[in-house]
Amino acid sequence: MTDMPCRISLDAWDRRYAELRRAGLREPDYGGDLRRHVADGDTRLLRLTFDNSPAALRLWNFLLSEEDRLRQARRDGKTLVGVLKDLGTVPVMAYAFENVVAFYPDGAWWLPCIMEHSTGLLEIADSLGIDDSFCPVRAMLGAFVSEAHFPLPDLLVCSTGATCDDLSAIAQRLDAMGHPVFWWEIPHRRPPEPDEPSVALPGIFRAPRSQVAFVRAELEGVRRVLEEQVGAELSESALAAGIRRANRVRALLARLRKRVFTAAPAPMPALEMLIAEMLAIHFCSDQNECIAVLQSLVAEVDRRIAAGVGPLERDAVRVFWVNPVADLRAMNLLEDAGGRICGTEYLFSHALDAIPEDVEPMEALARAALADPMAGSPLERAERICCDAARFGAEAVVVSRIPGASHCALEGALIGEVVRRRLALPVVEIEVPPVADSLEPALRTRLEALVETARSNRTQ
Amino acid sequence: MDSVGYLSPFVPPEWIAAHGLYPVWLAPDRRGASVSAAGHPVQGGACRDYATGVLEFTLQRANEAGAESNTLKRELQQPDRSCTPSHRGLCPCAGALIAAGLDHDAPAALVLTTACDQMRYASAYLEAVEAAPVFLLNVPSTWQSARSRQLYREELERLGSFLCTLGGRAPTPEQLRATIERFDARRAAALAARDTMSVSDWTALRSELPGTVPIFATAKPLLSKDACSPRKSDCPPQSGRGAAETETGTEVTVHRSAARSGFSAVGEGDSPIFAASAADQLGKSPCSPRKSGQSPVNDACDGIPLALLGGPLLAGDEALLIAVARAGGRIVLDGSEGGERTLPAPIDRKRLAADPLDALVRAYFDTIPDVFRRPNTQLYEWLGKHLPACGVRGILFRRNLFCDLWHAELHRLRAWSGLPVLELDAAAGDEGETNRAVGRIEAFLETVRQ
Repeated sequence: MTDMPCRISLDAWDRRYAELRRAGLREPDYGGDLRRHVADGDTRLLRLTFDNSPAALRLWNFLLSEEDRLRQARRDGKTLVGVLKDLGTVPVMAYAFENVVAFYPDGAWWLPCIMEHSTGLLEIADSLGIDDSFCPVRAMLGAFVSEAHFPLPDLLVCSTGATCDDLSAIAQRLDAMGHPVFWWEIPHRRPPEPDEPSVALPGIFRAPRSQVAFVRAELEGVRRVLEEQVGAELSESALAAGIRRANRVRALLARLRKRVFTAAPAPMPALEMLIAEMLAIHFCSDQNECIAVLQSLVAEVDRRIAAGVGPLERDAVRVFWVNPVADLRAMNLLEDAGGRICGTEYLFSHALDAIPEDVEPMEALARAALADPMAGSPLERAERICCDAARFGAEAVVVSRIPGASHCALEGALIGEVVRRRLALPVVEIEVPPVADSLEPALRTRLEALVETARSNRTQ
Repeated sequence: MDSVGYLSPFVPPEWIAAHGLYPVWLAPDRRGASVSAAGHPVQGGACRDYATGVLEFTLQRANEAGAESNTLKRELQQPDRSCTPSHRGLCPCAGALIAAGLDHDAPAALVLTTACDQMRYASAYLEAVEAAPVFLLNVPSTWQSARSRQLYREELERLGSFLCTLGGRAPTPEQLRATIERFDARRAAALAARDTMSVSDWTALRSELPGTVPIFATAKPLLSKDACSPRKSDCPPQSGRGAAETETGTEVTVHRSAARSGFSAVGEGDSPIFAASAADQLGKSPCSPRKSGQSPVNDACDGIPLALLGGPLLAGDEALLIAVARAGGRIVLDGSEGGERTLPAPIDRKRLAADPLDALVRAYFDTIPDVFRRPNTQLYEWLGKHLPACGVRGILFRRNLFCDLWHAELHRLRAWSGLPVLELDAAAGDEGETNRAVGRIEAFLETVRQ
């Protein structure tokens, strides 16, 4: 058995897993081989390549066992809170309670990919008039109807206002179908007017103080409805502790991202990094285990960096990736084309930035919520992308469109413009449907062209 | 006087007028987006990445406008013909608005709102290509709290400051009060007249309401600019002529008398006016007056009573309404954006006396039922009240392709209303749409008639 980092197929993971077990691999209760998830319907795994480390195995098993955790939480009498859209803020509050588990039903948008359209979720959405002119988050509607992929939450909380229309419209349909939604407003973040009092947000943005106060008041409403649902008050100290726990996750991710994005060769593939970053949003329904999973990833990355090894070529082109992909395989394609990830903006960079701990907890959450890159102008988001791309030394940028998403019609053009103007980097825009096999040759060609362009820029 | 264009019922035109500027309800031409999508050459070379359709069109406009310094245009230099606006998921309304914003005859500034995600991005796009100044008005989706209302008020105040940068000036409370009263009176008279006039006359009339004046193809103002000045009383009626292109391609000259029932502030322009042309084509007053509180289905009017529901009508949409009339339908309830659904409530006189801006805020923010509001129960309450009251027997559901907000409601509306619903979707530059839609409208009305 070799411990040299490499990307391997599921078949290879079968052999690798057996070897690891023989070598004494110890796993948490949700552990096991990856093959069993295919038997559960996660057939996309057959088309993916994975990192071969035990830490990556643990990450994948943690992700793919979330449904089991949610059902166990329901059996344990915990309150299940379905959070829609805000991507990272309300769960911090929810996990500050005891016996509350928060999750994102919109995460169902990956089910058509993971299960390769075998779920029937999109067909259900179609039957309800939510067709493929909507983004794949429409799978969530099907999941609520089928009740086959997550237990129905006890409470649904959705941010609205400066959000994508797809999710807002579908959440409204859920509300009308008998799944009452508690709405809270996230206003469009605007630049402060001259002489207007403003506040620095986590990350690089500033916002008018009045907007932060507004969001804080909105979040107070969320807090009240959570307290009513749970039947217990959320104290300031408990909320502060919740923020500290969330920041532990964010700190681990910050370390992981910095180490992976700046090392050569890259010590962890793009796909595992995407999954790891997603954990920041709601901790995959288990905050403590989330921390443990990330710690093992960081340890693996540190070990590889110390040894000067990684699963990718040392001279792989450093690519900054914008937007999450509906088909996880797209991340493999980038590496197949000779690229590597050296920075990301998957629509939730605000969930990666540390929440301020030197202000009142609700003030801190309001600032974090308002730092949502989607809440402001796409030009501001492009500034954030430029900032991170420069920090991590990107040589090229991929803007990945989400089919049907209301924000994707124009944002790629805008982000591309700003990136080219500021950083003079090549930019390519691609669109990735939930199962992109039929488009794979075209996607591969575009990514290869980008990589070649970036390589040629090295010699100029 | 500079004009300020807008395309949302949550932008109070009287607020713009009270600042001494000229409010213009835009109805851009989604067919404009097809100009380059159809393959017309683009000045300065072909586009590289995005560049057919609307984006190419905007480049063309930007080049013509001389905004040479902007590098976004350079990114549109070589076409990827596989990437059309439809591929990108661009709403034709947002695309047409971008094109209108880059038009030579664009208003001095645009006011867009956050009510729609694509409009938010259109605002950023126009900012990026250095088009006319754009103000993005934050209209909260939630409406139940005083906090949301206060945010809307603060946004109007911020809009006021923006208008001052355009050469406007902050109105005194008296000036604001007088302007609000004048606009309110016009709307009240219009609604009163609604009950005593034919549908075709109403259609023409509502087009002349300040703030609901559609301007197609160009952004030339239709109103006499002085008409909206807070310093002037109502202007004398004017007359003029415009032209509208019908679905048959013929130009219909429209003669309008602007003086109707006290709507004399509305002047005339040279631009085609959809509603007027449609009204004229439909013929004047084919039916007896609609009595107050009486369902028009009881009138002697010909035609099956229909409701029109959906987003804003754009230039070219007049052909559909003409087709409805020709097929034997009659629109008795205009629930489109800019129609009677989105008129603000009558102004509360006590509030007006105490705080005119508060009166304005409450008339608009508290009462206009719209699809983007969360929850959007007000929309269904409005429909629940007016569909039966107007004797509606079928609904024409007009939506722009990729307008998620309206699209998502279609299925629900069908189930909720129990009425036949005809979906009429609009794509950018869909040249064959009218003929296709006419056939569908005829079939729909035959079905409803049975």
